[in-house]
Amino acid sequence: MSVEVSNLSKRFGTTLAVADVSFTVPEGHFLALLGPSGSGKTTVLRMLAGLEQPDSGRISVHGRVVYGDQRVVPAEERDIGMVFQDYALWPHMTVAQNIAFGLRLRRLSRQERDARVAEALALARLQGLDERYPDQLSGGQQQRVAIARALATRPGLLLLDEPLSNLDAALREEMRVELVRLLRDQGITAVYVTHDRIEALAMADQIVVMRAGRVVQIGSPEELYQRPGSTFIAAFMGNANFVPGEVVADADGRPNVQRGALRLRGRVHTALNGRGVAMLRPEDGALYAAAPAPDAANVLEGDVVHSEFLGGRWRHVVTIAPDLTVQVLTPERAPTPRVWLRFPSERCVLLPATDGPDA
Amino acid sequence: MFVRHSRAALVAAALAVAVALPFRSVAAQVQARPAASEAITLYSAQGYDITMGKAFAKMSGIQVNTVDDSTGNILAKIQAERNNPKWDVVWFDGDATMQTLDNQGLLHKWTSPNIGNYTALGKGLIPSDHAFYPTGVTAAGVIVYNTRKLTAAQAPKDWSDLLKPQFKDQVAENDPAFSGPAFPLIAGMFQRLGGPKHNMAPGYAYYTKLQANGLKIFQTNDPTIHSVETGAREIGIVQDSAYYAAKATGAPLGVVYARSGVTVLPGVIAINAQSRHLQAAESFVNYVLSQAGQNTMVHDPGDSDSFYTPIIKGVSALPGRQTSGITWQLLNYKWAAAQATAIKQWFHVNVVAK
Amino acid sequence: MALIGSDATPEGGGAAQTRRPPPAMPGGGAISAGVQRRRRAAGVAFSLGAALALLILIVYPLATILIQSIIPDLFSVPARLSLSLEPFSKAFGTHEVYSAMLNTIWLGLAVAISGTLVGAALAVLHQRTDLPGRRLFNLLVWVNLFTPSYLIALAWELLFSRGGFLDTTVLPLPDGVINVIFSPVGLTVLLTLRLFPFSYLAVGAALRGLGSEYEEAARMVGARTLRCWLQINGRLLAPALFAGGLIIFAEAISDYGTAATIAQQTGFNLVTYELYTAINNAPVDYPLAAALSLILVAAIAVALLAQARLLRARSYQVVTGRTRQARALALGPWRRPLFALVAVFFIVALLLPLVATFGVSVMRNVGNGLAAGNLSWDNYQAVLDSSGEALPGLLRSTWLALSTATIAAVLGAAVAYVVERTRVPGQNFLRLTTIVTLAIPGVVLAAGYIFAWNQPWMNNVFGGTPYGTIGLLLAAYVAGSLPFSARLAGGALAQVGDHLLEASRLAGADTLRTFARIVLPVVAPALLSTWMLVFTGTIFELPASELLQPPGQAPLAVQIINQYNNFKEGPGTAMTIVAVGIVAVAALASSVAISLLRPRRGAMRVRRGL
Repeated sequence: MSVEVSNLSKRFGTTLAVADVSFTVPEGHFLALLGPSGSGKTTVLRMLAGLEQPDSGRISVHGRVVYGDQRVVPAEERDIGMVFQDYALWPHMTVAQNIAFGLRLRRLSRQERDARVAEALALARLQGLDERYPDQLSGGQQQRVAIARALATRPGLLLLDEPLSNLDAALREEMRVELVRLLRDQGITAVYVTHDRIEALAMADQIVVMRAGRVVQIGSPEELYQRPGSTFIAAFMGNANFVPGEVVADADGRPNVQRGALRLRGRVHTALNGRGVAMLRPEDGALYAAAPAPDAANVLEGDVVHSEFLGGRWRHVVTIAPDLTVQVLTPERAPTPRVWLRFPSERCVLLPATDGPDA
Repeated sequence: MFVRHSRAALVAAALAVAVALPFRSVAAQVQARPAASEAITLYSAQGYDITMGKAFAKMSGIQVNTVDDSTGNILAKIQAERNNPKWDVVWFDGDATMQTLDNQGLLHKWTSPNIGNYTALGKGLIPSDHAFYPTGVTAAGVIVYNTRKLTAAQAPKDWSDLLKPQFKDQVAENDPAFSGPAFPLIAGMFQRLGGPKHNMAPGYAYYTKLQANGLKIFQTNDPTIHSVETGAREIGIVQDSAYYAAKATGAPLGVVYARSGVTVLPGVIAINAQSRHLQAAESFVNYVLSQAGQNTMVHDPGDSDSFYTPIIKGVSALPGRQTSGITWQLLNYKWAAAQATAIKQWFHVNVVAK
Repeated sequence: MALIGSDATPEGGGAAQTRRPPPAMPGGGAISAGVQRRRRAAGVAFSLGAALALLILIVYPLATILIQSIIPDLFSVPARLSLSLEPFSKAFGTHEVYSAMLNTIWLGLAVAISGTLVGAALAVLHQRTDLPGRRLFNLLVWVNLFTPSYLIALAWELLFSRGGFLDTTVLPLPDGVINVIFSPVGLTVLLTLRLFPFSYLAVGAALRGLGSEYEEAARMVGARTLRCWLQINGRLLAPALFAGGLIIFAEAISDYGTAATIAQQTGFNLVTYELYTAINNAPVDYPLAAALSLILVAAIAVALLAQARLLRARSYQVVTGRTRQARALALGPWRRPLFALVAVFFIVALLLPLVATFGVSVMRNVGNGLAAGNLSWDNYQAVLDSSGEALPGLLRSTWLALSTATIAAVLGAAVAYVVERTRVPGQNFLRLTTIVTLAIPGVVLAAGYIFAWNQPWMNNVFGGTPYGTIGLLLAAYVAGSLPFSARLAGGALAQVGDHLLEASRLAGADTLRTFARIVLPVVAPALLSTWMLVFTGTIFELPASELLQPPGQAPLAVQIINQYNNFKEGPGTAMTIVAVGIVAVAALASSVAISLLRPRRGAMRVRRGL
């Protein structure tokens, strides 16, 4: 394991910012810390860096304990690189000087240093910009300099604090691809903080979802998307339809969510009791002009109240009941005002009802 | 570690030079001074002190390192150095002030071989315990007037004249908290008015009336005389040496030595009881009390303090300095020293602050 | 932690791309343990060194004076360690002291507010508008710094008193005008004119680091220019405003020279006057002076608390490495009136005193005015005569000022950095000393130096006492300037984003390196301003020079004052003008040198003319 974090906790005054957070990052993996603002993800990152000290817990990087067991290794000595959200480029130094700063401290020969700087510049596609000052660069270029600077010292771990959030949408997508490819080619272990689920889904090998200082679920992007552990996670990872109801057992003894005449079957990953919620992803639904076979499962009937064309797909909003609407994404228009939606039960997830914050 | 850039090197070099230079000059000085010659440290407020120091050094080979400062600062230094004094000789105007140093046991008591050089006036100023010696006298306060505003006939002749209505809002004086001569002047006034029993009431009354008549207080001789020179005030009470110095530059001023008497303000010189160079210090004082030394003092070019009245036989004052028709009043400085705080405090509250 | 239930599938590869195995040798960039240890030690030594410098230069000497307020006989002969409240009972014994305290605080507040506003307004006009002649005005602010306070006080007296310069030469002044000038109001104006540069420098340095983004953001939501400017930039500049304002307050309440001269004539009693009577009269009473100083300290402590409360818990970090150049504000119809206003301001603040001083220096006798027969260059000849004392004094003070300015600027930045941006034990105490000492009049600190460095036991340890050497005078100068340079550096530092410093740490730099390679260059413009301020202040510095001058080696200011005291204002003013000339040359030389030394810096670009 490249990074092992165990039972990290941190309090700021009376607020518990981070509570009992644990996760591991294998060598060369890209881990995303995902959550809304205030979830404590940046605090965890800063504790990894050594810029904040935990109240309790243990952190080890490459087998070396940097916090815990009565040891605290200062940030200067952790051999960790970090890319800040605002890039934090030193304004009085050129791009080359910014990159070379860390190298100067490592007693490399002049040639070695220059070679590494050139290498970093090439990797980050900054050739020709080495003599520029930060204020002469565009946002995307500044961001690449920040990355190059962090990587120049070949750290064992790279931390990134929402580095793409200040870029425009098109650039963000482009940089996403570049960043992931760069890190992968170099085999760099990375921990990436973001509040944007699309970034996390697209880039990470593993995602740690955090809420109110705690870890609520850890898994691969597909896992989290398809098998969320709670309604919060489900909604956070993407558009979701929620159908609340009673949890009842069906003929096979499996749990169903029943709402009036409607019965929904799905996969269960979390223990259910009493009230439950069926989660249906819009893109999993199929639209029919007439009722499908009467024994088909997970069929909802309703009226189309709104349709919009998304350039390749249609989104339809269908009223199932006065207090229940469901969205569905299909390739074609609604055939009739009254439609039948069908969601395969293996794609539906039954979740506990939300009565409070997730455990 | 540091950048090899020429810029940074330049800055570092400038830094090093800037810091090193004062020390270089110190080292040079230390080397220049021959180890064998002795040196004494003089704290003095007198204008001719540096000239005297140089003259004495030439004559005797003993170096005089002078701290030329105001009397107040000298007192502050001496007090702060109490447990490890660095001074050998101290020299300023005001025997009352010097008495306070004697009261603290700081002064070396000795009899100078030149004690016979004094005039009668001078002899009367030597303290019985020989803790310090007078070196020359000025009048603590004389009446100075602007000759463009007042004729000699119109000018006041005595201290009581200053209370007259025609001089309302026209009189200026120094602040005893800041000005050395001002306190002896005021104490002398109290002494003169108070009679043999040192009754304080007449003194208080006089100054209260003077304040009511529009007396304006300036810090020292300088601004007081300025105000008279420029005609802002018609009359000022200043040390007479200040008057002579201003007059020498052509100021339109006249002087009156008040009939009932002017307070003697002696310049006084003393030696530190703990001095490590007693002999050298004594020979410096002897030089000051000698005719040769006095002649140097009197003729220090352009120095206002040189306008003092010598009290050593055979030394004449600078020309232009009035020497006759002066009623000198000797200050009972022991009494004055005892009254110092009370009088200054009262003065500050009732005259300056009003 | 949520349960992954029975249907959980085994963890599989997340992203669809294949993963290459990591290179055979990761890292290869780690710093060796020995180097790490040494660097850590260097960092600690640096922090401790800065703290130690503060302790030795300021805390220790000050303590030797202040402690006499409760142990009055600590340095008596013989010494007695008994506690006593007598100094305090003496200090509060008269009822003048209460009016003195009130007057002092009133004066401090009035001067602080007006000085901060004037300084800030001028800084904004200089850096963010298109006011004509703003480069010249900037230069004039520096000239304002050159002119020492006793000079301005004297000049005012020469100019404005009945029968003075203006009254006789220009036009007779009505009584009302004179009464206003020599009143607490006039005193406030005088001190404002003297002290506003502190605010100007602090705000100017802050403005340089402040881009236009914040105000542009405000304009996007419809805020109109002036209000937008004030609301956004005013708040962001708050640390600089308070840094400058606090210094002005402290300087105003501890002002010895100007206040005592003019205030004394107006009957406006001040604590510094009480202090003067304690120190400069026989018998000298240091315990009383200590008690009075503590009153001033209390005043500044209250001001400090107020500042902390007002600035609490907000981020003012605007230099983040993403700042861009700021845009100039067009003044439009306000150009001419503002220009006239600023011009009049500088004429009154500078030109008049300088002209008066120069006038006196070429007169043989003041009373005879500017008559033809009364003018000559004699005074200058006397000053530049190499056999006299003046020339060595000038040179001595120049070298001392160079050294002091350099040491104080760098040390001040180091102290500000260690105290504000690192974690050292006793941080708050050190932070407090840098501000509290501003409230202590220079003469008290200087007296403290005598007590601190003239102790008999030092003869055995050092082979002599530091007191009486020129090195100690230098130390006292640095000590007197350190609070200013630390506060000004602190104001600039407050704007430097934490991330800039954290990025340096993560790159492996210890405290010392971060300071030298990141902090110093970024706050360099502020440091430069501070350097010039300390340089000019030291050339004319009086209290420490008087009390600590090595015998036979009098600094310049002492000689000037002695000239005045010995009734030779002709040579005195001539020496002053020559010294002003030296400082002007130094300012020019340094600005040339800096523009040569510094490369283009983007948002950190230094404007011409400082």
